[in-house]
Amino acid sequence: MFSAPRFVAVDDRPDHLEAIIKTFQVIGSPCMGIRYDPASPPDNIHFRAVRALFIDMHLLEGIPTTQETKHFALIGALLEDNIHATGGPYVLVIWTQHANLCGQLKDYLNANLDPKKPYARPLAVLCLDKEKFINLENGEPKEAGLLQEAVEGAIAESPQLSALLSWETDVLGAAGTTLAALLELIPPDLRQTHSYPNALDQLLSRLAAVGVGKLNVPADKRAAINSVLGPILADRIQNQGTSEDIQAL
Amino acid sequence: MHKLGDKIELITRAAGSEEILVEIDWNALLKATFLSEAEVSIRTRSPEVFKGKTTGTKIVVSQLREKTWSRGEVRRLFRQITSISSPFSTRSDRFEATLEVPDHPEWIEGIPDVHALVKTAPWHFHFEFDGKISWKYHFRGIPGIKVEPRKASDKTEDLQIIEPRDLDERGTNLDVKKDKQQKVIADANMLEGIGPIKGEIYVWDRDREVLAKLAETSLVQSFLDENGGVRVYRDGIRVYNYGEPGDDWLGLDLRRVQTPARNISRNIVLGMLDLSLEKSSGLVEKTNREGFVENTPYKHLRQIVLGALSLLEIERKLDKEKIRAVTGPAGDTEAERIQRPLEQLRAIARVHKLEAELEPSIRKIEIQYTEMRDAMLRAGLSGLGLAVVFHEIEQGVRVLYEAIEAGQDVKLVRDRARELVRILDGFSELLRKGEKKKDSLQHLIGRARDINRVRFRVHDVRLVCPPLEGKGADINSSFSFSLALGALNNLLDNAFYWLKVRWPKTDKQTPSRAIYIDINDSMFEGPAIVVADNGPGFQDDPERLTKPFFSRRPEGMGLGLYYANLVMELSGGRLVFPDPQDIGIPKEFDGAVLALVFPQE
Repeated sequence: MFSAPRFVAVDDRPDHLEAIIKTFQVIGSPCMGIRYDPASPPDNIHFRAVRALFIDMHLLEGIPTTQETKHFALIGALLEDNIHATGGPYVLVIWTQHANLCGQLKDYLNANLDPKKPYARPLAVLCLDKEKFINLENGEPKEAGLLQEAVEGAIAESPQLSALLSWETDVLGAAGTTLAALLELIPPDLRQTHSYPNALDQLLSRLAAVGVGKLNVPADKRAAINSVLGPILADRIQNQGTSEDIQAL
Repeated sequence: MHKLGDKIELITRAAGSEEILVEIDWNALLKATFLSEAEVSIRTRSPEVFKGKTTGTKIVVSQLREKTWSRGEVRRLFRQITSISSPFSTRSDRFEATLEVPDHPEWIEGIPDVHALVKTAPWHFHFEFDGKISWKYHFRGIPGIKVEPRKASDKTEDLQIIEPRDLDERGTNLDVKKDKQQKVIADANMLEGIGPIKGEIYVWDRDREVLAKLAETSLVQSFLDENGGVRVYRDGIRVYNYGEPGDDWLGLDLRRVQTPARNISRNIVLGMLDLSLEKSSGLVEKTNREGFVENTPYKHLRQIVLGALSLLEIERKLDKEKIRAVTGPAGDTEAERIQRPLEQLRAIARVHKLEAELEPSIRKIEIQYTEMRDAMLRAGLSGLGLAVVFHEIEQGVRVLYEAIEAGQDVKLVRDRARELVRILDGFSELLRKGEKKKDSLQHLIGRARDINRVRFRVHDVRLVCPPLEGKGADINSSFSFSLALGALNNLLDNAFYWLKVRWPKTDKQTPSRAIYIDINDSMFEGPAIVVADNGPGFQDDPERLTKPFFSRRPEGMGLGLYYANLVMELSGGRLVFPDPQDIGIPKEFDGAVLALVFPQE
């Protein structure tokens, strides 16, 4: 019943993680923050519908070594382990103090992600330089709105993903307006806590009966409701205003 | 040649032929209205210059455009001309280029002879690569510094190379598509279109203490300023503009910014590479005399030469350390030692308007350095080699200064400054933390395996790990999980690399590369994680292996084992290099064997 977060951020530093989460709060969209703990892998349930995944490039502590591959391989393993096969597309945003290494990371992921897990491959790998946006000592944003612009810009950098994300948002919006329209059928005086559930029950029962015939409802109640709400939802998706991102495609 | 004078006369005669005379008069040519009217006279005549059986070519340039030549210009011309032919070639068809200045013979007097100058170089390195490398290293000693001369050599070993950088210093993209698996060993196939490569390399030192002891210091310095670099000769004839001032085809100065205490910069090296004209057909010279066309053979040539240079740098670093130990500055406190280079860096950043780019890193280096030193003193860790780390940081700051002064790319300088901060960050974290908790060694190994799962797959490395196969009891110890994981990761890092060196090719079905990880509870004073592989093994003693900034990998930072050792010592354990037979690991793991020994519960 609870929908999965579309924005997820992973960082080993809680203050840096906080900065990303705060930014999403300003944007008005929830972002799931996961503090990376090398002792226990993150729960992959949080990644099941991710659309923009922010990962710090260096999740492991320690001194720099000749090659960065252990950090890159860890990111690769995180993607392979956590991105769901049915989760849909996502963009990987590397959130780092070492933006100069982003190209290498991209090449590494391109070459080495498991070919048997094509869904784990990000649609795009983008890079945000932490130092530009936050005070690295305490994670405080340097200038309000700067990170927000960059996050929006990073997503907009991939017009295809932008369009898909907008479509998904539109569908979610259409589902919301469908439910709202449904509730408009319940008279205001019945919208009291004691009467609301009954009124809703009656409405759904009638719709289900109209949809598939009274005798067929008990066989599959969910299908009965779907047969009525489905066309309304489809109509809302079809006829609501198209977002700019999709028009730009 | 046409830039030199307006009138050119070329006389040439081949064996058994008449003499040919070509006359070009630019004054007459430029008077012609149409190109078809511009004529160059070419005629054949009975030999007048090359009489009898003599053959050759003579070119006379007259009506010089530059009427007055200064002493400095003539001396520069002398250096240019005399370097056309390789001074070290032993080919049968070798030739010499000379310059005479009949009106002013004194102008070219005293110009150092390359043969005499290279004798002052404390280091000499010779290598030959024909699919395998053989090399000879000679540290010839420095008069007045009590460090024994040393020779080292190796025959027919594999040459380690590194992935080429995307851009060379001329901005050419050398590597459009990266291989899925990075090649770490050069093979004979890489010589296609290049042929065998020979190199003679002389290296000096510009550290104040060393320079003061060298003969003809200023002469050597000015010679290196003009001539430092690595030249290329084909059949004894120089290929321009490699090794000319302003050319850094191997990116030596760039590499030094990245690993300052080890890598050599252009202004301390004179190198000459010898190629065969016949066999190096893949190397095509550009028409503008600016080196070879940047094709695959050229890319391979750079990789091979840089690989060979790394061997020299690794050996040289060993002697440099000894030199530093006897000449090291005394008296300055650590804070003063870093403060001065940092102030200089600040000042030059101001002059070049790079404050915004660099000040955050400079400030961080300053703070971290002091914090780290204090933490080290508090914890009484002076014996852990941190002084070497401090030295590296100081050296790094100095090289940043030099890089800005030399006009290196600002982005590179900024990235390198951040890298120094990262090194310091890593160490301060280590000294600050150490929050120990009871945890299982099996859990630690399991996480290390999971984190590196992609690497095991990509490099086709088989993991043999009894504790993760349900064999043996799990053992607990108190340690900082993230630090211990860092240490274990570093051991795996090394194993992945060296397995590729020993087994450059691999087969997915029957992988030849393998790593062994086990828990041993009986051999040491506490429980230990043993890591072994079937790579080439160690060729240095443990003391050297755990020294900071020592690595036998080309461009290796040399911090992995040092860090692992430090982590273990700070948690009351140690890093050991046990005898494989003593701890009973399977015979196939005949490479490196290490153990992280944890304190007894």
